[in-house]
Amino acid sequence: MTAPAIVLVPGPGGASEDFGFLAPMLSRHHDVVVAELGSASDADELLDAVGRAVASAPGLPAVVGYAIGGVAAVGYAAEHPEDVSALVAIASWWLPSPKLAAHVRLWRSLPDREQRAEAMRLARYSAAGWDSARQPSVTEAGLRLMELSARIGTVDSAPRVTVPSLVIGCRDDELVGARESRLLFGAIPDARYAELASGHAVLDERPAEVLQLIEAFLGRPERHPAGTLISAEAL
Amino acid sequence: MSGEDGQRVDVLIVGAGFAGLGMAIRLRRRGTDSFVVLERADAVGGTWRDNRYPGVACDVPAHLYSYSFRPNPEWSRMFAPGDEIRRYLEDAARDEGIEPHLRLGTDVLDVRWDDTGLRWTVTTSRGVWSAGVVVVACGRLSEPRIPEVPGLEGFPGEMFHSARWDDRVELDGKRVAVVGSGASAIQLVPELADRVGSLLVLQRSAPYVIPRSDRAYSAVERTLFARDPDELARLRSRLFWKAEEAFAQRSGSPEITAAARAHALAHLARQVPEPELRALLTPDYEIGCKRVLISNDYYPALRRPNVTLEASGLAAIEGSTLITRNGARHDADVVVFATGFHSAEQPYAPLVRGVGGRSLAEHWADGMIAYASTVVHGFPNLFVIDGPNGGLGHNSAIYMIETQIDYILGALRHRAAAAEGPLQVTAAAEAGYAEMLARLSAGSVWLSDGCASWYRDPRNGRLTLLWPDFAFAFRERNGEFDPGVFEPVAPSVAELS
Repeated sequence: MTAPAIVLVPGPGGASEDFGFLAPMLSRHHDVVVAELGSASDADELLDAVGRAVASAPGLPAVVGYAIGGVAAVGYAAEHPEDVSALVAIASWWLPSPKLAAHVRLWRSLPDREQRAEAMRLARYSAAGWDSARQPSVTEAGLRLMELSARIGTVDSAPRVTVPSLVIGCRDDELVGARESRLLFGAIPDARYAELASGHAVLDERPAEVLQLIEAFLGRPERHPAGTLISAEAL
Repeated sequence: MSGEDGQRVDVLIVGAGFAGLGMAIRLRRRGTDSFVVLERADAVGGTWRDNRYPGVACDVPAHLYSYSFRPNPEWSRMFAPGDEIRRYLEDAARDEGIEPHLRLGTDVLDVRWDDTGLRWTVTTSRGVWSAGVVVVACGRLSEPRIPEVPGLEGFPGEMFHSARWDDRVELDGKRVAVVGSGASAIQLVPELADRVGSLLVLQRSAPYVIPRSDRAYSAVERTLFARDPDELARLRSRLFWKAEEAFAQRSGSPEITAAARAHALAHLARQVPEPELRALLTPDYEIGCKRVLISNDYYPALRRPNVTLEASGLAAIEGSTLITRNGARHDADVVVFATGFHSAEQPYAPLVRGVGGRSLAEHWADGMIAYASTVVHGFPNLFVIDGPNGGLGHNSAIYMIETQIDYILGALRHRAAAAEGPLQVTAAAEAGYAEMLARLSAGSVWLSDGCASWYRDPRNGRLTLLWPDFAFAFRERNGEFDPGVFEPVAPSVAELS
């Protein structure tokens, strides 16, 4: 089979923060289109943003989303099963955790940009992955997407997703909570689940491992039947 | 030992380095006893037996550069010194019960497929073996390469290759020349600079050098690794995936490549304030084209008053005078050739003759190729570890070797179960694999303008040494034996039309 096109849906940091590694590496084998969430202010606008990217991708693309981008990808796949071939949701959730909401309230309350960035950095990276930590850029649009993140989930959409799906959770995700990612796995009928040793910023902490999971899944989605807990590769 | 003439063995392994010993250990652990490991030297250890120059160390972290099935909580440092790796391999050979299968000091002279007996006949300096299966595990960088320059033979002082280090040669206070500025030279030069009278370094092309984050593991860490094997597995996983990220510097992302280049050039700028010397040490090709080297003490060594960098290759020797291509002349008492190894044309290739008497060297006249980087059309039941397109510039060779061992064990299981005679890979599968490699390497730094390296075959510019993708992609594609691309070999088939 030829490799499907991929629509990448970033989190609040935007494509340049989230997909600096994944986008060029996936582009070696796939056509890649990146969705722009811009200043989407509700779930419908998120789905529209995904829809615009899907429309410009050749064939039936796989949709790969990170954080709220993954929530949007799940929502889009539920509404438009005929337009996508597969779904990958990375560090996404079933319900937004109360701790995520508390973090977002803290970030909003901090008076200056530097304090905000440092507070986000502390929340996003695990202790073990701290050597990968970068200072996040903080835009008003990004902050609004974070506030939206604390309000929306996949409770209604996930059970209606029919395409083969891969859910990637992060063991040490202090924002989303690995359990919420696992609940998303529980909610999507044709889902398999992998959990990485990482904080929420898995695209900085373990980007190559995420790439491997995506390539292996898209290469042969049926390799792991629905319900599989994918264990880490023996190295 | 010629008493072993005519001995039959199921699996014959050539070479007792990481690859050959790894293969032997996995066979032994399966309970297989019908195998031998032939080794031309008088000890195991491969690269780590041959390379004993001052400062020799591995530039892949030790917890990654070791067998997954023999984790070692005792590694002394992030980057293990060479002799510690050699001891690791010697211990492995002893503890795993490989020694009874070892035949040291045994030079393989001829490996020949018997078209009627459908077995391999292996002629050695110590007798002849008949083997059902041959595993070539001779390494990739085993045969030292010394440049052919006029006057070499007439040099009155001592000279030797870095992989054949001569401890008897007195260096203290001498005028020493190191020819080369690659992975061996960069480890050697800082060690010699202290001891010798004067040191000359001949550099054909400047390497990219990045900081080396080496450190010792504390006793507490080593105790933790011993008490909690999961801690060691987590470290290995982190090291592997961190190394994988560096592949992105080689292919597909100009931004990531530029960041890697800037990282290396900033290291140079920090360590070499002198503009003239820095200019000589600034590479004129893209990063990743050649092996990226790691060192914190190479650049500082070159700044010492008794060290001279000549940014030119060796052209000739007149008496004890080295003449470089740019016309400079330097006198030397000792010459150390840190000039690398024969890589594009492997020394074992002319010795191995497959179906119809055709040699691997003939089959590879247009550059090495092997399906799954392991099996070659016309060479049934023969497997090459560390062979064509099995090398990496960004991650651990041991991961690749273990992938190939898994492939071979799969083939052996299939052979035992299927009873359909010797298997050879089809010509079509081999050609398809070559096309896939060409697609993967297109757009990579190795095939970019101005990039020449030992990764490519000088006869045609094909990338024949390196696997041009992530290491995980090698295992994904080549980790499992697939009998579908093999065909049986009939006795006495006339292979050539």
